[in-house]
Amino acid sequence: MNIRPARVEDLPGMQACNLQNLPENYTMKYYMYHGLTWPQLSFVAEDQGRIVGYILAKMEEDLADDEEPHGHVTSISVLRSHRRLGLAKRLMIQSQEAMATIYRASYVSLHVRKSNRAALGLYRDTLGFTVQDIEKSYYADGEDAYAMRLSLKQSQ
Amino acid sequence: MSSALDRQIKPIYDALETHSNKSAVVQCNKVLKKHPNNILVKALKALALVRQQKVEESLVLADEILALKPTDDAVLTAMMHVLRGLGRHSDIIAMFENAYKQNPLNEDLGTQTFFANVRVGNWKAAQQIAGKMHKQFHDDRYLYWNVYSAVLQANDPSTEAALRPVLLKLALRLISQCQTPSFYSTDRFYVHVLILRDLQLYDEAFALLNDEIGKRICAISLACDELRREIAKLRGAVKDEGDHARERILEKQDRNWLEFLSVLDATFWDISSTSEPSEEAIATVKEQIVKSRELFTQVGKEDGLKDRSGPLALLELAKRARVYGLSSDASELRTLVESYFSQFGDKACCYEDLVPYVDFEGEEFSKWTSFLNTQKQPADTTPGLRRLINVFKLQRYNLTSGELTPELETERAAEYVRQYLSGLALGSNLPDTELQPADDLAILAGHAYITLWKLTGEESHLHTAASLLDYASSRSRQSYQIRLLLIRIFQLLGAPSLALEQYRLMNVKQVQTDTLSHLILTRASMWSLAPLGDITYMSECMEASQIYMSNSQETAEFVARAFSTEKYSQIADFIVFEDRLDNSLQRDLMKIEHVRMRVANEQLNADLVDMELIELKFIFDRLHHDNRDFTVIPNYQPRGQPSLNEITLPVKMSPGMGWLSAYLKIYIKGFQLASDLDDTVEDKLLIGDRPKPSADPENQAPLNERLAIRKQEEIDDMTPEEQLFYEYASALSGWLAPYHDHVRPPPAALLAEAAKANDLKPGHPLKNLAAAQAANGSTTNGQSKKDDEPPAIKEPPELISKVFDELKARFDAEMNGQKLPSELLHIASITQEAFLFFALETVRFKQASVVKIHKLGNLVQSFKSIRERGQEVLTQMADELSKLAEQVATPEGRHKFVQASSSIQTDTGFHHDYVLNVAKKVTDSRKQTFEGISKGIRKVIKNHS
Repeated sequence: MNIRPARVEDLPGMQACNLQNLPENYTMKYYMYHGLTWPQLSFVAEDQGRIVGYILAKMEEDLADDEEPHGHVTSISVLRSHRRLGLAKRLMIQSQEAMATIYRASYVSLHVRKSNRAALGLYRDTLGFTVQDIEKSYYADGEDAYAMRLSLKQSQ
Repeated sequence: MSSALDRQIKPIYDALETHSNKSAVVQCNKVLKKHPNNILVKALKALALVRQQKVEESLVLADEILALKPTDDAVLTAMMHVLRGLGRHSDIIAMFENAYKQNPLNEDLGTQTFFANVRVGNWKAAQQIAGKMHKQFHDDRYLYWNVYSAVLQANDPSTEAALRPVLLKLALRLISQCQTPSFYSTDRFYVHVLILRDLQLYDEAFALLNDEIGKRICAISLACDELRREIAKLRGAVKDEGDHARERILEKQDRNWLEFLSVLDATFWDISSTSEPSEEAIATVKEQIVKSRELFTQVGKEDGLKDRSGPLALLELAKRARVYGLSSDASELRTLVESYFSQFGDKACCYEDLVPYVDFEGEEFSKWTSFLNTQKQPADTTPGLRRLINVFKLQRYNLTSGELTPELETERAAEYVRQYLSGLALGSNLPDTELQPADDLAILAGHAYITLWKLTGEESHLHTAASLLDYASSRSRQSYQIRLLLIRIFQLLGAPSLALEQYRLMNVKQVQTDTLSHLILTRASMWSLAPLGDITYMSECMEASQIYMSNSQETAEFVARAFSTEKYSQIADFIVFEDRLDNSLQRDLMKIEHVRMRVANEQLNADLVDMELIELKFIFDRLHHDNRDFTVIPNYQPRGQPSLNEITLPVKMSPGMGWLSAYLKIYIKGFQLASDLDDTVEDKLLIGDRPKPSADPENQAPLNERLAIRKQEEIDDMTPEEQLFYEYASALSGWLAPYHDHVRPPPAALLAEAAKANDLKPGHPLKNLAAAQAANGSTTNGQSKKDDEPPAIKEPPELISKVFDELKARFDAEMNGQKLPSELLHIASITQEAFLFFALETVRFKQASVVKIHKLGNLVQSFKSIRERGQEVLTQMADELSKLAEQVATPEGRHKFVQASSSIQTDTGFHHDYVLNVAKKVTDSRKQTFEGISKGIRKVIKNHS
């Protein structure tokens, strides 16, 4: 299993990961925007030449005056066949390290579906995220999201 | 500009912003009444017009504005969008170049001119502009634009090999002239190292990468670090890299597989780097193997179940040792595989991890087989179920062809189903967003029933597979793998509407439409009811093609933005990506399908013929990339057997580059004959730019020569019926070409007519038309009548008269054999296509006056019998298909369908009534398809009789 920076030509493989994982519909442009703007923050997990997981992440762009720079996980996905192998954790940590060292991010935030128990467990129990807020009908289909964050200050 | 005028212009922008293009035109006209010469308003009007597809009106305005050589920023921006909409990128470049020339001190205009060239990959021009800008504005950024444009020009396939090093050396010299060293920015540093690599100055590159700053950059830029790794390899420093990786594995707990590969490569380097390794080298490698084994074992012990890298690396080490004949213990690999299975057998990826290592033979094979048998234990927990699934998959992989008998496969299928149905209990509490842990057992059962169908030819096995997988899909709605199998089975059963439904439920989107639309759009014309006016598949093609539109609009823009923000390390990727999508094989396979359906759906008039001719000719020059993803289709077939993808193709051959090439030749030739456009006319009437000419030497020959070439790879890609159609179409075109050439009106007459038609419209003559008329007038004096005598009338080649009988014979053979719906529909659709192609190539001779003037009565006479034979054969096929449609959706038909799976049905869940429902769905869909195709054939006959 190999974790390496995501490239534009990984897009088809990354999207193939989403066949069963994410109903969300990110446009090609959005992927490219991530790749162009924060190329150091997105990674793919490759197994025998196949992309089996990825993380797409960015830095928050519209900061209020009193806000510290922070990162945001746009999307993270691991194929079902490759779950419970610590892959999501490795992808996360790789991206968080880059956020902290390259962009001096003070924390990282993400959104998760209320119903997504597996992901919630990973973020809270394995990675140490805490729930900050509940965002009502955050997703297109009306489901609520937990807004979670993790401080990156200790790791610097 | 006065503020009163400003106030009038604002609503125009507002209207454009909200895409109220009609109202924008009205507003423009209002302002233009008072200010008839306002160039900005004219540009905005042109934009609103082009957005409404009023191409010709927009064109007239655009030409008028360009003639004024605008320099105003707002006008240039509006015009950029207008010209993009018209596909005239070269005019955009000319416009900016002009403006920049008039204002050489305007930095922004320089940038725009640079970007305009970047967007279309004009690296040479981009490089010159960047050079000029650097001299003028003294910004290092422009120097690096210059440098990187030179690199891109060097890598462009159209650049001569001898010129490449020259360009790279120039780029390197420019970098050395820069006042700030490249390491001040990671991306500039990246470009610097890249050039050194491409010039094969590995030592210099390595020196840069390995000093203090270089190391620091590699630590934060993975793009640079990847370059470093590559250069180390190129320098032959494989063993150094291995040591480096060993350190990282041990000290930094790095578990990236690349590190393990570095260690493995280093382990065998002394013998893999030479063709005749010395005794000494072999001894060293043996020592290295021992060391690496120790390392990987230690890692495996430390990590336990947390990480698979150590044990996987041990497997790879043993495999490579065996390949080099350095394995001391014949059973080593098997023992490692068994221990891996014991440790990770309950991980879902275990099967995929082990498959590369389990091709055992002889004694090892039997030991491995008995090991697997001992691992088969009842599954009462989810991990236990996963282990059982892995056992089943590995056992299936092991099957020899002797074990693939209908009897044994039936037993296996029954066992998979039994375990599947009981395994469902383990997931009964999961929310419906989750997959069922037992899913793979249903997929395995699907494999077994499909194999049974292949072995026995009995369609009933496909009924069972459809019933079970439909049920499995209802229990696990997120499983796309089950849907993929269903798509294929429904297609084989002649129920394409159900296949399409499954595809849509997968919610294929964005780039996935390039990689996955092949699932339903491969040979879509055979399912399509286009002759009846049903455009489902045609719209599906259009929708799946959206991604190519966004690609051509957006990706080039990202390249420009990457220059603007100096993210050089991203640029090459964007360019490769754009090229892969732009020249996607699937894109043009879809295009061909669209053409085939269009010909069946519409009237064969000049609009269709001319437009498709031009588009297909553009495609013909492309160098295609095959981005289609077939690996998503699960495959658990035994080793050495064809994959599940291969055996479930609805028509046995999967179309590839050869198929595309053949079909392009067929239709380009067909449209060329039917069309009045020749190259000179086409040039005059074309609105947008032509695509860049292809650099492929093969494409340099004249079009007609290229169309005549036949290649083996084309034939290899086609079904026997398609091959027959190819021969027939070539024979038909060869036979009729002289008569078409004789009758086709001369270019001058055509252009005159186009001009006349254009005069009737408001505005302005077409581009180049007046000049063309003048030129033609002077050389031919307006009279270019060919010889009065038509070419001698020849009898049609035998193949043309025989093709319909031949196809009928194939259809009958299938009717007397398996009667597989997808095969029957394939043959019927090719027969219909042959008939339509005949109509396409004879439409010119339909007009009685044309025939009379050119004395082609005898020729037209010979069409009659061919057309009639086509009609007869097609009518017979249509009759057979309607009969089949009647037979299938009956109580007996459904009863038989349900009976097929009676032995595996249960009292609850997968019960009789559930299966009956599936039977109803499938038989109804098939009936609808057969009926529709049959009616469509009759309609085609009627339209072209």
